[in-house]
Amino acid sequence: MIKDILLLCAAFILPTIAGYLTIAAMDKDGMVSCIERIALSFAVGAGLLSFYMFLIGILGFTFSLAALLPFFLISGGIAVLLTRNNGGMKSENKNINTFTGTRLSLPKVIINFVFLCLIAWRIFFAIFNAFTYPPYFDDAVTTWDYKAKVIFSNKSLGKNSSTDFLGGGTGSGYPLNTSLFKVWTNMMVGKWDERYIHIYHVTIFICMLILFFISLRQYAATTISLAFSYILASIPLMAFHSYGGYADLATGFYFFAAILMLARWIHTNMDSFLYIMVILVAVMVFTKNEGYLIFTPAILATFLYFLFISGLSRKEKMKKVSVLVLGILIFIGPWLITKNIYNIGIGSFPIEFHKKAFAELLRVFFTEGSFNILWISAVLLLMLNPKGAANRLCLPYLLPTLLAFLATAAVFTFTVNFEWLWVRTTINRSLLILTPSIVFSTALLVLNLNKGCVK
Amino acid sequence: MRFLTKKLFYLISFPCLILAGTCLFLFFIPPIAQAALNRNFVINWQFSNIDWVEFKDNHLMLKGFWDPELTIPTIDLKAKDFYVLAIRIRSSNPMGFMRIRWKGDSRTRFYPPMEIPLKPDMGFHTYRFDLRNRTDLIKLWKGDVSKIVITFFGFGDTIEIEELSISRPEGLYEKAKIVWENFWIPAIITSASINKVDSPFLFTLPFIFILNCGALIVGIGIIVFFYGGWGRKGTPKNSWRQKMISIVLPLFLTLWFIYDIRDIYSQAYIVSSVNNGFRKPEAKKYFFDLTDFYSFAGFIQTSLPEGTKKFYFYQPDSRNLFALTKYLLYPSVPVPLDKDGVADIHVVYKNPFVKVKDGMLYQGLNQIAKGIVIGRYDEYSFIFKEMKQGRND
Repeated sequence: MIKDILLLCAAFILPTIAGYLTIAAMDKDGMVSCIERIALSFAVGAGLLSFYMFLIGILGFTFSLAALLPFFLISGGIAVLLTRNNGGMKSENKNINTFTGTRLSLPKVIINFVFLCLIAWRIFFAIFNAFTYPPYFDDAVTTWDYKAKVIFSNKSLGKNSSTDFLGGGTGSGYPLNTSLFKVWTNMMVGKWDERYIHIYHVTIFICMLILFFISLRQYAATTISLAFSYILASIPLMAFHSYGGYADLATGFYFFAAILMLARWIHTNMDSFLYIMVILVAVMVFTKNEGYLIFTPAILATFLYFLFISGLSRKEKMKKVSVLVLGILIFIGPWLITKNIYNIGIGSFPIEFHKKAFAELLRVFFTEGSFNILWISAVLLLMLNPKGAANRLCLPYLLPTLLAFLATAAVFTFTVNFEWLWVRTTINRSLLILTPSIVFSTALLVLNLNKGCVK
Repeated sequence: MRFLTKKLFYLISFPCLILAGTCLFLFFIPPIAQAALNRNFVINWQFSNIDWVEFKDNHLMLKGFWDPELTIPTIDLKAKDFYVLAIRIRSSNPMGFMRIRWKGDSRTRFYPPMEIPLKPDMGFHTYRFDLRNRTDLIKLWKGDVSKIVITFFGFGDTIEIEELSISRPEGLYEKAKIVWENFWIPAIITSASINKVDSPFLFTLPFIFILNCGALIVGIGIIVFFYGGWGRKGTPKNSWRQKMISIVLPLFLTLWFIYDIRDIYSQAYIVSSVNNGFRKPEAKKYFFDLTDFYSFAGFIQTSLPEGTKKFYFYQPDSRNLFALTKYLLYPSVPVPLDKDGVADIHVVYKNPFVKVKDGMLYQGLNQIAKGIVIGRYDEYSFIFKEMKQGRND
């Protein structure tokens, strides 16, 4: 058992180090603070490792620790070479996350403590269930965990003519990021153990909360940051996804982190944020199909809009667009080529208008308990502060979120996917992906109204 | 001054006395039972998916094969008048749940179900449900109800029913108690729970609907108050905006927290259920509606002959455990029964229609294959190995 725990720790720490080094290599100007880097490191490292596993798998190599060793050597080596000339973390960023020096009043200490306890409960609940629950939920059993088990058992991505190709399961066109990381975890432990496969989701959940809190705290006071972190952690549907084995929460994390980096790039014009965003968007596409159908276009549209209104020269603009598009394609290219060669797309969705969708969506927002009162509160806060929404601080976060929201609603209203709204399966999970960015944008709207909440 | 105090005392005490008297009166009015548990009623009940049933000393005891179901005819039951179903039961499944459906108003289909988890301590408990609790705000408990169907989810569980009645609560206290009890009924966990979280009910409405309405009314009220000009008279712009958000934010946070308390309770219930069922160091581990299926899968994993690539899988009717079996037993793959001759191993789980008699596997009256039982999990769950004629002769 102790050996398993140590190997399990190594399975999570190694990709985190790779991710940390990658971010450090990208962030030449030291713009990303230390805790933010740590919160991003696991997701970035795990994503890159999955890309590497997919690449060697599709080239016909079998998965073994020896075959995976080059990933750590290459990523570590490149990162060390690239970070040699880096200036280190900026002094102002070093101070972003210091909690000492600010004296809080007793009521604030009590409120912060209550919020921390409520968040801690959510984390406990996720950890308890991740270690206890056997694979149980529908798509985890038929797709996400199933793919991982098949790939782990075959030690390869399988032959294209077999039912085990790309892990088999109900959808061979499903991206493999989460499944391949589960393969890696079990390879490290040396056996397939159901207890370990959902730790990935808990880790992403915790990383998301840390990233959310730290990012918000750059604008807001500790109590406000904790309050909104609590709101994010306590979204009722989030509780199931923090251990359930689906890929929606991970997609939500990558979407939110990519938006954060995009907004920073818009606010500072520092290219390091753009580079990190490229990786995050690429991993998001490799996590769920919605990644390239809905969320990448939303991010690209926001990027192009802000690039268009920026004072950069045409040549500079072209350079930035090229960096973004080519960067994403370099990472995701092998997956898209594979999809194309083996014709494992997402299928076709004939356009058809469903009048009933509006009433159903209203029911989802108004009478069902998956998101607490998130939708009504967000709409009301938007109505309270329409000018704040268009503010340069808030818009880079709000615009991609709104675009993705509208695209999600459109998919269920104007295509055959209405069926999944009717039975309430995919709709709630698709909306869950948006929740971190919605709560963050809402928090910024509040800050814009009340300067007293600002740090 | 003394006179005024005395007057004030009478003024206050008189309505208080009337109120207290009314409460006491309402308190002691007994509920009216419509379909109580006694022999006359039980005779008309229908049972399905059960191994055996026994009615003794006003106690109904039944053992199910899978998801035992009892259908209660309720001739001319006026939904308007009777709407609280009370059932006092004990189940051998610490993680089971029950489902209630009903039919009425000459409808051919049953109304959407109501699902309630059973308490994990396996003792007797009384569960009372307000059948008017509305899903999606559509009134479903209405008109004349002709049938009520109660299903207990799980495989091979023993259920004991001590009391069952449909009544109308009389009195404020009784009504409040029903509302309170129904509010705290935790959500059940199924394999589809990850797609949607249902709201609890309060006063027959989804609780989240009430909170959303509250948020909407307050939000719009505040928008009108401040943007209409009343809230910002004589105050600078930043100041009234700050005041506005200082009211809105704590209010929304309070509403959020109220719902969250209920959600935390539901989660704590799940933790407690898992501790009492799946985490108990017993051979048969229970897990929600799957009962001991994971233990069975573990048994199959160790008992399947080495190198078994494919096997036929006989699951309980009305359940689909195929995908889960496929996942848990990979690389061995279950194959559908209509694919002839692809496997010589037959795995049966809680299916009383599949039996072995004189070395022959039967499904109902159909002969399936000749062979031997190579592993038995329980009476209705086993592994059967087909012996090919050529090899045995």
